[in-house]
Amino acid sequence: MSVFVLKSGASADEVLKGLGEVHSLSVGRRAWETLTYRDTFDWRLHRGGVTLTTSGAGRNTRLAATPPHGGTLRARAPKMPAFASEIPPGPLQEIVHLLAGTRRLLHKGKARWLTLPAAVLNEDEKTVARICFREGTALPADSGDPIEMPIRLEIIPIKGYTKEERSVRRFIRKNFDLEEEHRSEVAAVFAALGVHPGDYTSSFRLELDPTLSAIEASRRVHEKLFGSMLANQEGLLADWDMEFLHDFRVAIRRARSAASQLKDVFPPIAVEDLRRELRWLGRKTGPARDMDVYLFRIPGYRESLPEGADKDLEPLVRLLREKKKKELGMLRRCLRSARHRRLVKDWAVFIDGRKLGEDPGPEAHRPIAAVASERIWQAFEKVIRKGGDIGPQTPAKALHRLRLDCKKLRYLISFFRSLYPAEELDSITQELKSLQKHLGEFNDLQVQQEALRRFAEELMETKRGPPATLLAMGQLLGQLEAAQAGERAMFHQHFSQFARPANRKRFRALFGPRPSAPPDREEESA
Amino acid sequence: MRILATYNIKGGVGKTATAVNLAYLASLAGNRTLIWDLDPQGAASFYFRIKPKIKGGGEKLVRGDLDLDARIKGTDFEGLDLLPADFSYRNLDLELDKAKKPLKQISRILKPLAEDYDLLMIDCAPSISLVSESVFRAADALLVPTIPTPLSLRTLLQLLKALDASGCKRLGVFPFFCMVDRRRSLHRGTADLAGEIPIPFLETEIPYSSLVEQMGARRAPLHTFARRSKPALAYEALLDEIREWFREGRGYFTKG
Repeated sequence: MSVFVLKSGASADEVLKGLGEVHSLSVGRRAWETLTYRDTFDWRLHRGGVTLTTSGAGRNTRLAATPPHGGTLRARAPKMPAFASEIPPGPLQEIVHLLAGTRRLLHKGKARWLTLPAAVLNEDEKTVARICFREGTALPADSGDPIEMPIRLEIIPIKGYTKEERSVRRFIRKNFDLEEEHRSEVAAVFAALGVHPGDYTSSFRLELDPTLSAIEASRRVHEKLFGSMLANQEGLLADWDMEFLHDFRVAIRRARSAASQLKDVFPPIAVEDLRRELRWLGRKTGPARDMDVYLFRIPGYRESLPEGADKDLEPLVRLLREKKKKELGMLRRCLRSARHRRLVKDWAVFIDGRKLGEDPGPEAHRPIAAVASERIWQAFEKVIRKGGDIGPQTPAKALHRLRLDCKKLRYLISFFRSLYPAEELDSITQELKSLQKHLGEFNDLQVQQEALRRFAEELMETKRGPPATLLAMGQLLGQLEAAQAGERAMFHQHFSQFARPANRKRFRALFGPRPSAPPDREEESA
Repeated sequence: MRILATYNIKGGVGKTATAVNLAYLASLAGNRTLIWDLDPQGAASFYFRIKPKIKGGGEKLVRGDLDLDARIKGTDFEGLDLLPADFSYRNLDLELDKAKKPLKQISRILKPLAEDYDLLMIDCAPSISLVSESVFRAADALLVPTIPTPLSLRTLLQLLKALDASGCKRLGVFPFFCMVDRRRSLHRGTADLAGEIPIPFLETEIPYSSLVEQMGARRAPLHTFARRSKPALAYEALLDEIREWFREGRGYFTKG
């Protein structure tokens, strides 16, 4: 498809009149439509090359998606779907669900379009090319003034009729004042509205110069994490989907890790205060996230129970929903508290940097490349040491601590990944991820068992858990225990894979201490 | 890519109307759809106002000497393309006969299209020939429009016999009644005779309607001008039922 924009003064009617003199045309009806462009908070559809629009409302909700291989998928829904799972089954639902998963489909932009289609016909009245005029007005979310966009003229080829399309294109280009438009329609709308697709991603990405001072580089790491925390706050408070709270927590955890792993870079008192407050905030977010995770697991629990017993979990689901509501309420209060406001203010001052120079830590002015390598190497050695101490009888707590050490190592690598060759870093990150996955599963199974026991007690005490529910929960406990024992038996295999000499060599090559320079030859001979 | 072929040994039973309307409906539901007009009469091409001509010749196409994709034409409808008929298709049997493994030839030339389309609907010429046998090899199922007359039912039995004898791979055979006129006692009676055919019929019947005949005058799929008409709704139900049969593994399949 070729797209042009009409320069000032030119109108669709003028182009159609001119084109109609040399080609047989069938001009369609002008139609208005208001499109809302939807995507997940972290732009999963955009990243997957899909544009999703909705129009209409209530029972007359219409959806359209353009998949990467071209064409348009359409669907109707009985109400505006908030999630992919609420779209009626079909190809559109499949592609949106594949990309968006359980994330909410948020309003990212809105525009009103006046469309005028026309078909260029051959002597059999067969359409051999299409043209379409799209006159758009971008509508800002804050009910600001509508923004008129230039008229788009799309020339759409029909397969097998390229010659005819070329001739139409040549004629239009020659006779009218147009400019080629390389942006897609959605890109033009976002540009008009000042929306930047892809401006948020949950993975940590930061470009750093290796010669940057450690304090400046670490400040930038904090700045990024601070931004990520704030970005997720609105969705968390509104409970749009469970990923907001998750990403909010990850930002806090990463920031805590950045504060403690790089504490010798920052002013000691400031960093200590920040660590304390971040720990407080992290703890406050825990219970609500736990409820999200338990509720998310319910379908899996249901599936693992024998047919018929899956309904027995309903009292547990109700309990979890109540708890989620309560914990979210507490978290909302916490996020509106004076202590949280102070944390945000102090953290903002911290990353502003002006005060950081007043009492810098001993490592503040070393190049970040050297400091980062030292910290990563230390964190790696700690993982190797602690993992090596774990034997078949070591209590589960040690595995939990090892999991946290792995997380710290992973965070450090992600903060400073731009300082190292990407390919090598990716391969060691994969190794670390696989160990983390195993430790995560082991810990998860442990936490689930503890939680199920707690909930079972609560259901009994409050007389809300009929015997069938408690029996079903007992069955789940048995399955979790067996799965955890299986994971435990695999620990040695997973850890040995990570700690094997070849992997250590790769870590050493990237982050290990550099051998000191050989003594000067002349000095030696003297 | 799922491959369906509308087929009947007998002509004039509504094969092409079925292929055109079902393909149109499938594309409307978001499936990338291609119709191959394999009937030298070129009725499907005519319905879409596409010239029944293959540049380079139909024989070369079937020999695999032509770029198939470059011969495909877009219809007036989004997501629906057509590989036109060619008068030389009448000699395809001779061409296929020259190929190394003639029965596998159609499957072989269709391979490159598998990624581009979700559904291929082949509108076959009537009669049993090397071409139709090669289509049986390539297709997932035959849709067999059957007029409720004893003669039509007899040709269906002939088809089943031929399929048995050819020993072709696993192939669905989905007959359904077409051009049904309940006012005619012959039609009423014969529909009951379906019980004597050893394979199940799709439940949906396509009623006889002059609107289907008008497709030829309007040169367009039925839904574009009579969306809420009885036959249009019947084609929708037929497509739904075919989907259901595939999903649930219902219907008759040759052993393969």
